[in-house]
Amino acid sequence: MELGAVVGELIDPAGGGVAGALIGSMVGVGGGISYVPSTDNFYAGPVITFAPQLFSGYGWNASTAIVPSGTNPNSIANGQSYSVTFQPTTFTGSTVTKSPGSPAVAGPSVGSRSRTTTFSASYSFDITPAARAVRSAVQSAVSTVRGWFQ
Amino acid sequence: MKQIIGIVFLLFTSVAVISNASLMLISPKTWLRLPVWMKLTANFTERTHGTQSGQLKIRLLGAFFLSVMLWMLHGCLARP
Repeated sequence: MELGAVVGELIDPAGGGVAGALIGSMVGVGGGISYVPSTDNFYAGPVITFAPQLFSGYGWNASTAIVPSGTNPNSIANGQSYSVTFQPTTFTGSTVTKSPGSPAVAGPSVGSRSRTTTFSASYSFDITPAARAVRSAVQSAVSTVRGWFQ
Repeated sequence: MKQIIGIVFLLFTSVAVISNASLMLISPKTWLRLPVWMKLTANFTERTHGTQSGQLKIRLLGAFFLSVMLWMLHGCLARP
């Protein structure tokens, strides 16, 4: 909301902040994480969302995508992607995700933005090598500690 | 550089989700009273979700998000 107010004040210093804040409450910026269990790959990056309902720019959701055979899930999770989430209630919703060069995929969704449709654009970076390095460090630390007690 | 940006977003998102989900699970009333910049409430307010059933819904949502994050962290840190 603060971002919207700032943008509104820049556009119209006398009162634009109110309209800007209301519009801003429909827009959210944040982060997203994706995990592909079949290949053990991790992705993270920025997300911008728009929900045509006041104060629905804030919020979060988790969704899973059912990827058809023959489609590489990593090509959907990596780089830019666009998604539409329809969330009639908190625990029942669906997300359709489209990544350039890949077919659109859909799956169930759970989220705090209920009774609305949310449009999101995201860009994800492949952080699998870093995640695997952290995993190796944790696993070697665990085996070292185990060695002290054997 | 891309790895660093990705890790920054991973940490930022993980901390936001885990802290919010834990508070949702432990104390929904406290979570609803958090400042706007700290919480991820969307259209959850004390007026609409201050009731017993509303708080139960918040607790379930918190438990769900915490489970998802722990599953992802388990995949990241503990997979053989």
